[in-house]
Amino acid sequence: MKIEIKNLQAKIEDTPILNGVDLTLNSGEIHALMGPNGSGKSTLSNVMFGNETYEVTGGEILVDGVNILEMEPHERAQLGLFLAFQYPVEIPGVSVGRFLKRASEIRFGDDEQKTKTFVKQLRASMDYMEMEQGFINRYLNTGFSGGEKKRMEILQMLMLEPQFAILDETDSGLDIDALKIVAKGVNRLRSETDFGALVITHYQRILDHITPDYVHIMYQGKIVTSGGGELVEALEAKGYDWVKKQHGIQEEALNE
Amino acid sequence: MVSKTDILESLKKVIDPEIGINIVDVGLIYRIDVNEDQVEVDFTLTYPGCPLGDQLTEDMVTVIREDHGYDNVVTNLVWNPPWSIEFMSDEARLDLGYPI
Repeated sequence: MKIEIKNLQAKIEDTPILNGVDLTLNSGEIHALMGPNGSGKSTLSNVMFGNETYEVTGGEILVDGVNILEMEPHERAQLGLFLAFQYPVEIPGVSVGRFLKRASEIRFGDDEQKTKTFVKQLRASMDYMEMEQGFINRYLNTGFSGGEKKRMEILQMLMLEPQFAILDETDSGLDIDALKIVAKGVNRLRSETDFGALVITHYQRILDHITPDYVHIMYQGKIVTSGGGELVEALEAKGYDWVKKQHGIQEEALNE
Repeated sequence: MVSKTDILESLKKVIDPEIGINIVDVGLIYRIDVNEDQVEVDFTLTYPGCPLGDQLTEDMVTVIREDHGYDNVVTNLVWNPPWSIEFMSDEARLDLGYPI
């Protein structure tokens, strides 16, 4: 899968948030997206999945050459895209098992083998994610702790085997043990399938466990620089001011 | 020789019309006996008085004949033990919203 984001612009109400994002993502690659609060990282993930709160004012997102901006979120998901929510939603009345079984049937459709062995796979994946089997019968995310919700997002990802996933600050609020389990889930898909991901984060920490192939830094609604793992270290050492100076970004421009 | 598993696979094509799930996953099949010229199936219904017995019998006989060529299929409707939700497969229980 090839995702091409070209000169993407979006606003919320009258405030422009994305000011021409260019980014090419392929399955088989792990990209990290970093940037200070308010730089547009989460907006990018929301726009990619069709959140109607944001209005796209220009540019396009092509998935294998097809513009997805007019598609419904579920149609984007059926292409093999996946979003791990920054704030997973509680859905009382729908059990984890039933939710995942239905989603899996839609995703894999005619693959009888998958359908027949669903419960076995689910139990195995839960063991892998170190989750109690009892979660199968609980309502989705309802009353889950922050860490449990994030783990549930990754469990969904393991079961649905997307070709490309966006992890929107999946690491925030996780302790080191939970972080390692999340990373383990991502790394499993990475090693077993042609899987790619865009890992949105503020911190180097998760990137110690999920080694990115590419790192992008976003500022004022644009990707201002891209590189490899060395960029993460430079950022950690020198902070975002360094990025600003490096790229001649005027703080005033933000406040116009 | 046709195995019990083969017969069971075929019986998965028979859907319990009240629940919309195949009779194997619902847990209605209690026993299968396969001989050279005959297949015998003990099955139950989810509750006594359930009117589906004749229809399910006909469907079972049909799929076993079509899939495996047996003209002699004997079905016995049994009530012991009485069917309960625990007999359903995990998949069927998830579909119906029961815990597994």
